[in-house]
Amino acid sequence: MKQSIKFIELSKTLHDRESFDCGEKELNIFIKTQASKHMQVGISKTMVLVDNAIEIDGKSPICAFYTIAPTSIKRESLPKDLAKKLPHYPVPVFLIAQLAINQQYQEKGLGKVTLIKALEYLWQVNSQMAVYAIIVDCLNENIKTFYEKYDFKVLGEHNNKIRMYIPMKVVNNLFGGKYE
Amino acid sequence: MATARLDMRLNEDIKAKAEKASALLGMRTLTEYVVNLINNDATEVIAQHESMTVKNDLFDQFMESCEKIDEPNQNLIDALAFTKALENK
Repeated sequence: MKQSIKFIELSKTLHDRESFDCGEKELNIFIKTQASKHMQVGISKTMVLVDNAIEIDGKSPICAFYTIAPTSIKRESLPKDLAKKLPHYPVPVFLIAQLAINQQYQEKGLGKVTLIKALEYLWQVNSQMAVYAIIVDCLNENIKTFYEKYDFKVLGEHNNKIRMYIPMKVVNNLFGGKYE
Repeated sequence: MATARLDMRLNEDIKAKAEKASALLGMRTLTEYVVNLINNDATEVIAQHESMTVKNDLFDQFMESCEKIDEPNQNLIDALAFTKALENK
């Protein structure tokens, strides 16, 4: 990666979605057939890191991508006294719905770089639209282990996937200047 | 006033069944029935997508850590440094 690490909005015309293979069928299908549609109807936004050194028919391969969306969290039941203490309910959060690395570009620490860039992007959005936490969905045990390493905690199961979170305060401190 | 159009092809049997159901519900047209169905279902699908319900104890733990935990762990700090080093190359 000689160019700076810049994630940009997915473009059907400039980015080669067909060649993307991260080894997970569900994520491959998502980038190929759903990501663009989801962006068009306002469900989520997909940001990609492309390899500008390669261009085939005017399209560059995607090295990594992440997909984000705003969502919210509700308590199974909400006692009245607790309801009063919660100024924002359902509790607003950001979701990193997808995060994947092209197998051809793996083993360069690109997984953690992509996570950092996704967190950094959401940290910027957070200044406009404050949330409590960032949520991630784990497709399998390996992915859960990956997020555990960065102190994400389990929030439960959603659509048969383990959902984890990191408090927004942690992310604010990470990018707040102290650690740069 | 509804102005958008949606054309669709469907099986004869399904159409006959839908006409019967819409009449039973007192709807004036099949269109009214279909639009109602779509509207209700879409609202529910979107609501399910936009919010997640969490078990009470996990929700309380979640709120507590969002209040209290504010320092990133060493791995996260290292990952940031790694990213910055690549960017400054």
